[in-house]
Amino acid sequence: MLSVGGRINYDCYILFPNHHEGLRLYRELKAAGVRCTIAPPPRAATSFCGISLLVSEDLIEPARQVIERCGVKVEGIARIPRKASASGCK
Amino acid sequence: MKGLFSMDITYLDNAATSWPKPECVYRAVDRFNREIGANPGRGSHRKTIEAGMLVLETRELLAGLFNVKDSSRIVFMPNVTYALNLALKGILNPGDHVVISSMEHNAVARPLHTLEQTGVEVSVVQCAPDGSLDPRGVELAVRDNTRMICMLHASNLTGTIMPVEEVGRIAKERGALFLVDAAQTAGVLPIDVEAQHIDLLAFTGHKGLLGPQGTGGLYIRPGLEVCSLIEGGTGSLSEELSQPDFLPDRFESGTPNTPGLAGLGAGVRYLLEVGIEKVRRHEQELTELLLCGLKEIKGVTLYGPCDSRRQTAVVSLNVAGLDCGELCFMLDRNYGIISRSGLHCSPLAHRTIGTIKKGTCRLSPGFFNTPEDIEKTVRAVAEIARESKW
Repeated sequence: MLSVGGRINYDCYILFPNHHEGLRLYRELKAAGVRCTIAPPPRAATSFCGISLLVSEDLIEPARQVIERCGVKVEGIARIPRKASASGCK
Repeated sequence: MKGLFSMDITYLDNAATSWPKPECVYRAVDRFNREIGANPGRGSHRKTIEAGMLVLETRELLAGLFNVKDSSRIVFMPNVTYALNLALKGILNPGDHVVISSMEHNAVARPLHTLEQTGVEVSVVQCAPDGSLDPRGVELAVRDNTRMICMLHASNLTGTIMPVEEVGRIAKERGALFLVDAAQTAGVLPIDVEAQHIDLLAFTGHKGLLGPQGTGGLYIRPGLEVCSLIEGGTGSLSEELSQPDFLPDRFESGTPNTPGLAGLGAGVRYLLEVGIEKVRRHEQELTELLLCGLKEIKGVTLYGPCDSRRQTAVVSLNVAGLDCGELCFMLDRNYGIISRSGLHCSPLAHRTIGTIKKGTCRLSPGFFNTPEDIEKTVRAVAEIARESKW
């Protein structure tokens, strides 16, 4: 678990019902300048074997606004303690 | 273009499948196979993302073309026949009534024949001998239990363009679903699912949309319940044994034809760049030229509206004293002109226009044909007609 100054950092995985919605949001987030990375969804959070979007915690609010604006269907957002430098959102 | 017998080929069978395709279609299929090759919608590696993006883009291009607001409501299938089977068998139940025209293709007539055995009732509205449909006939055929009106947008036999918007309005007013078979019109005539009140739109990718064979799909209006006929892996809800209830996954089990869909996307993009109006205008000019030329030939019988404004680029004919198959064969062997003879999988339509016993020879130019192709064809038919013993 990665902690900075004793504080645990989290990553947020945006979960989707399918690839279609995930890829749509990926494109929208990129266009809006919200950094995100396509990643396998955490097994603990979903049985979907496709994609999730990994977003650092500080960008989750802008991401939520994009989701609301473009009407992409999401299954939820899983907040998971950062284990390594998985925050390398590009 | 040189063919099998080292003869210049004039391809006039675009109603069966368009050919040639735009160069970008060949390149898109090749690029996918060589450089991407992955399964879309499965896993999350960079190649599946690239493949998934291609499928998404094609879906969105089609959504734009048909004025579909939510592209997930377009599901991909191998062809329009699969799409029509899904729309008919996935919706109609015993006791339901469906209205069709007498110009329908076997892609509609055969599934409905099967459904009739289960208690689905079918009314066939008689069209005029030129294939045209009076919407009032549809209105009269609608009953209290009419669940669906199903109609092709244009005939594959005569090119006759159907009054889709008027029939769509009737369906809406009478509370019936409206299923349109756009096999001959997607990419050729404007289609707007909102303005034309279309609940289900079945289309093929390899004709007017200029994509490869093995592509097609169905638009399903939001809120409409359709039973899935094929179930299996979708890459979503993998823990569940039940088929996902959301689209497009519900109807897209198994690996799709991704190279084909990449090509289809390229075809649609090409069409949008050229403009459907330009495609239609060119095909209309060729049809007019063909009709004018053939009308002057003694012994030629033409079918359909014989008016390029009322038909797509499909012209059916017979030459007195010749079997339609002989005519087709002679055009191919002696002139390198590719046409199609017989019943065109449309016995209902042939009964309507009075050619069920003899069939017709069908000439169907496409966007890449030229006026010279048509002049060559008219000259060839004139020579054949002159030499036939009628």
